[in-house]
Amino acid sequence: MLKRFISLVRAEYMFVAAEIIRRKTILFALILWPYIIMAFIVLLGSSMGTMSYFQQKTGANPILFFITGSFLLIVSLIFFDEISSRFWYDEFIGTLPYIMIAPTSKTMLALAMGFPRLIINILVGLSSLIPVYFILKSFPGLVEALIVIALSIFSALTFSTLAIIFSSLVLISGGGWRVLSIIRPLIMLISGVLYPRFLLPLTIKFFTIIFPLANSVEAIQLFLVQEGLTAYSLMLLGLATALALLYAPVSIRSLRIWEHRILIKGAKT
Amino acid sequence: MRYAVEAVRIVKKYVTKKRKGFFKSETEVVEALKGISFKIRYGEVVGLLGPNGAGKTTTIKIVSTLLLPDSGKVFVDGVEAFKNLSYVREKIGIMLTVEKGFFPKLTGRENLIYFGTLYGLERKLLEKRVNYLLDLLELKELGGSDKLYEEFSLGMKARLAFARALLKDPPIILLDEPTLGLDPVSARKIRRIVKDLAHKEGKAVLYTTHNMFEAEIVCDRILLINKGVIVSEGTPEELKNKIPKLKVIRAVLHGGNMEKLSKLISSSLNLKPEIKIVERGLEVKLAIKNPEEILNDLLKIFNLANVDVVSLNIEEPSLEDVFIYFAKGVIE
Repeated sequence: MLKRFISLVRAEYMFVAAEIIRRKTILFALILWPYIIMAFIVLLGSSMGTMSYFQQKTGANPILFFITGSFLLIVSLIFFDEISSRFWYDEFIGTLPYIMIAPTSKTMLALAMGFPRLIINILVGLSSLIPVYFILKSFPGLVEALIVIALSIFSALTFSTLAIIFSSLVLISGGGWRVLSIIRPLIMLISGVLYPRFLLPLTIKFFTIIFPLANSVEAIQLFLVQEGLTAYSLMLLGLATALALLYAPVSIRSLRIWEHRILIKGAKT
Repeated sequence: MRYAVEAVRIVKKYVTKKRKGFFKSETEVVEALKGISFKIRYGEVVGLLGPNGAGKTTTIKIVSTLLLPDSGKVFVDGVEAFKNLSYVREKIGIMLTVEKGFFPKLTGRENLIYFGTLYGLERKLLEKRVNYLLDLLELKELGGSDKLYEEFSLGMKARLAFARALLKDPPIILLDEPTLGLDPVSARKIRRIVKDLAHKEGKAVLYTTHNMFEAEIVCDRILLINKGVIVSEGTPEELKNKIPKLKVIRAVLHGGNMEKLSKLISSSLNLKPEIKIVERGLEVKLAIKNPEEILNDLLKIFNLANVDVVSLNIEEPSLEDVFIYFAKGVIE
């Protein structure tokens, strides 16, 4: 099964790499995106107060906090972005029937779809994250950056099962990018990447507890503030893992519902 | 006997909504298949011949497990298709459209590698198979192996789509109008391979087309489908014999008199000939059910009329006549 999964990731990597390398606009967007998001978050943050005010209020270095936040945002949403947009793209270019007919588990395929871009974005992230950490904190900063990257990968993986459920909803609705553009900001809000969880209203805060991404994001934020992993952070990471496993059967079911809908309507050729 | 494909009373309806103002909409039900049944054996090419909207693509989609029928059952390799999706999908190779269905930014080879991986082929075997198919369909020669799919001509796209259908070396191949819009060279290439696959390798092929000529030369058996119903089936010969159309004797003669010839044929054979002047002399046309029976008498008449026979042919009804007869219920 693992061998099969790896071969699917390789095939998906070939597709993603070709799309990036052979479409220059995508290549530039990929390289510039972390910087654009970081600039946006810093601008948004500075409109609320000065850097020292932020450090006083949260205990974290704002530059590190936001550059990590932007990286985390990109990496965490990869599975959701890839799965919902890929199957939709497949329908658009007519490859969907040939994918549907493949004797491959669609859940396994959906997971494999996220990995190539995850790997590429981590490589891009390394170039933006490590230098900043190194400049600000020297060698200990290097280790810290690597831990942050590892935690970001962890947060992306723990979000993958819920991402499949959200993607299935987008696909079942048939609304394509219109639905995607509604769900995406909501995920960003609830995840706590843009707006720390403790600042959210109580009702939304409750929802964030059952949202694996919000838990792992908070663990990373706490890591930055307290400069280490506390028992509470580990508990948050454990909760994210448990939730990911809890959502796994639902994610398989949700993709099957979408598949069944395609079977009734017939995949477009 | 284990059939490659067995369809039993398949019914499929499409429900569409027609907008009637801002809030109102009307539901429209189109019955694409009205309980069709058919069987395909291994080693034969079965043609599904019908006009646009007859239900050909719907049938292919159902047999390939891409579309769920409203009622009826499909058995593939003796197994009920929709209860054994993985097994059936392993057995089937499909080509749905000629002009799309690949990733534009991948080369021909990369596209085949991608789909081969998806179909579970092991890497080394896949690379061997891809090379073989690129050679077989002359895609290497045409440069399609390393060219981006978006730069492919229609003929190359069709060849690549056909190669994908053969990637797994499946025992059952479903082809939906595989030569539609193709140049004669590409079309001939695909037809020849299809025939070889069935007759030399024992594969079962379901081949949809609305091209009579193609159906006649490629298919061992033809299912005539119209408005969701299989109106007739048989070998091309059997189908031609099913219609009451007369065969035609067409003779070109040199010398002789048109009126005299007409009178002779009418009085001796009790038939009304159609005679006209052509470049090489006179052309005589006679419509008759069994032309072989009067051939000797006719030659004697030509001798009597003192004419030389330049050419003489017996024309059988074409598959087109059969198609029109069953599709419209009339002979044109």
